Amino acid sequence: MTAPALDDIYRALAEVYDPELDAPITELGFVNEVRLDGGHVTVRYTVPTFWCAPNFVFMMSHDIRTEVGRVPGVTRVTVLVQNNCMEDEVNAGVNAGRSFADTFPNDVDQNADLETLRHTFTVKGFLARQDALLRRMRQAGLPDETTLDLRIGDVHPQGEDVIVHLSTALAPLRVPLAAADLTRYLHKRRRLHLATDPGARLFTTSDGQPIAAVDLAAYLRYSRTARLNIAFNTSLCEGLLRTQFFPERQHDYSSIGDRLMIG
Amino acid sequence: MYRTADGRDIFVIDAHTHLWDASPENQRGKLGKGWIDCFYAYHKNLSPPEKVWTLEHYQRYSVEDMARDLFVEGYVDMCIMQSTNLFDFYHTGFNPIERNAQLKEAFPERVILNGSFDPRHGEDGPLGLNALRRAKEQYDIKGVKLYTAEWHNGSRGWKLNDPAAYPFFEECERLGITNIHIHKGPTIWPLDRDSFDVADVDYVATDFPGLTFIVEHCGLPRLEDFCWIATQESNVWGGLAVAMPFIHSRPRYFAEIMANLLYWLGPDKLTFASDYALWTPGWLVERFMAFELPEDLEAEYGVTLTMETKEKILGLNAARLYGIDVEAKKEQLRAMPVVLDGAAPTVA
Repeated sequence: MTAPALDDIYRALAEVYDPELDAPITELGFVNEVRLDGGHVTVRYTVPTFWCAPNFVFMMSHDIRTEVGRVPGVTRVTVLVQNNCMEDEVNAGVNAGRSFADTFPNDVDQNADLETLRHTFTVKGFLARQDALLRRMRQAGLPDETTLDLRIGDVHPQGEDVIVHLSTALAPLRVPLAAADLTRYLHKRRRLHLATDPGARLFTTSDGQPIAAVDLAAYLRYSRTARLNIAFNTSLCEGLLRTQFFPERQHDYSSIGDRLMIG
Repeated sequence: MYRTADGRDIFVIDAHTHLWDASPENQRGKLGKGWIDCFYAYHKNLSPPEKVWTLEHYQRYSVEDMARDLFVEGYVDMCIMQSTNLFDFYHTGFNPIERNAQLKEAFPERVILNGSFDPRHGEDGPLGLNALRRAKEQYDIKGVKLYTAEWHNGSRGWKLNDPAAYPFFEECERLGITNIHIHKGPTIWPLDRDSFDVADVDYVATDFPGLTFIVEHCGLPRLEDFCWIATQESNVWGGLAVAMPFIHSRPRYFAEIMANLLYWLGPDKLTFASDYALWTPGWLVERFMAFELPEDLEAEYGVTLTMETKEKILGLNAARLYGIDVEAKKEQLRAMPVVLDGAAPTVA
């Protein structure tokens, strides 16, 4: 059997998200080391604080095991998280293939699983990404009624921008800097199993319902705060990680959360 | 007191402060060490470089250090001391009321001392109902700081709406302990849910309309859910600890958070806090006084951060909560400047 390729491992890791920060662990700088020993892959990663919620840490370790395990040639995956109050329990549980409930038999409602929690945060991430894209549309001068009526097939990335083909005889409209926001939003729609075909509505609620223009202001009030909250948490966590483990970047206050800060 | 360029005196209450001992001798193994190391990362990452302490100093500082940082160099007229017990992490606790009381004893006219309780302690435990009654008697406390994330005897946290907590809130009402400060932080139980979830605040705020619930760190990292609750419950306030230091490192983030809070809560339910010794108040007060909300945010949110609003946030709101007559207090404090040269007691 062919040994797995390092590039493929990193591509797999890029599909593992910090559920709270709605960003891949590779972008957040959490991954320290990927070691290959034939088909045995060892991934070592660091979370920003000793107190990062162990349920989220478990999810990330578990997801690493699953995603990397799918890479052709991988026969075994070992995941080692560090800098967490529950690292020993998480490492032992995940590497033995135990479920969350079995890993923490005394601390978890044995009927509960983490998927409900994961869904809550996927929805928050969806709202934040959608809010970013909607802001771009508004900034480009698109009326809300028009925006809310758009189909996925009406919007096309072009470089950093998005070209909107309005259904009327009007000329196409350029929405500056919206391409990355569109990609990120569609990615999240797929994660939520929402329609992404050209005929599907571009903007819907997280359960696929249309948003009425009269409700939009109230809708955006919440999603705007959700967007800000993720940006805040991301910049805080990145800062804490840098301070402890990358002292040369101690005063680097840039953050991947900045992409949500659309003035 | 902060004096503006045009001679206006701004009364400052630092609404969230601690006198802690996290020295290695007091640490209980890796949990005590992990706790203070995490705090230190917050301190080091978000403070301006010239305001960063050594880890050794950060682990344990004296009453005199605190008085200097707050009352001499920090513009702080009064501070509210919030207990954080953490007996599972530190042999004598992190900053229980007895330790915080040392500052109160040295500067009684400048310190508001708060207690705490923990429903898992029942009647007679160190943070049980009887201890709450004793704290009222001994210190006349008007507030408590609750830390739902605290570990205790194998339990790794509790919820405000746990049935066991209700007798405590009822006792608070009876005793006139009306200010309930809440810290939402990482806890392990219930592990399958979001430990930062602020939903339990909603229940107790509705069930105890006579109490005010001040959510420290304004619900961060769950700002959207906190704002939602605080808008619906008139007795839910936001404390600005942790959000404040962003004013230096990421001013745009700070601006957006302020605009959000002013939009959802208005100017009358927010309190300034340094979270000392997480950060020192001097630079935070200076930056906040110099801070202006960007025009685009004023326009989008329809809010302003005027001098009057800053004055409310920096002190008048907290004074209202704790029944402080600001003019009388200004007068009193003017007559008794803080002199530290040998005047402060040594730490026990």
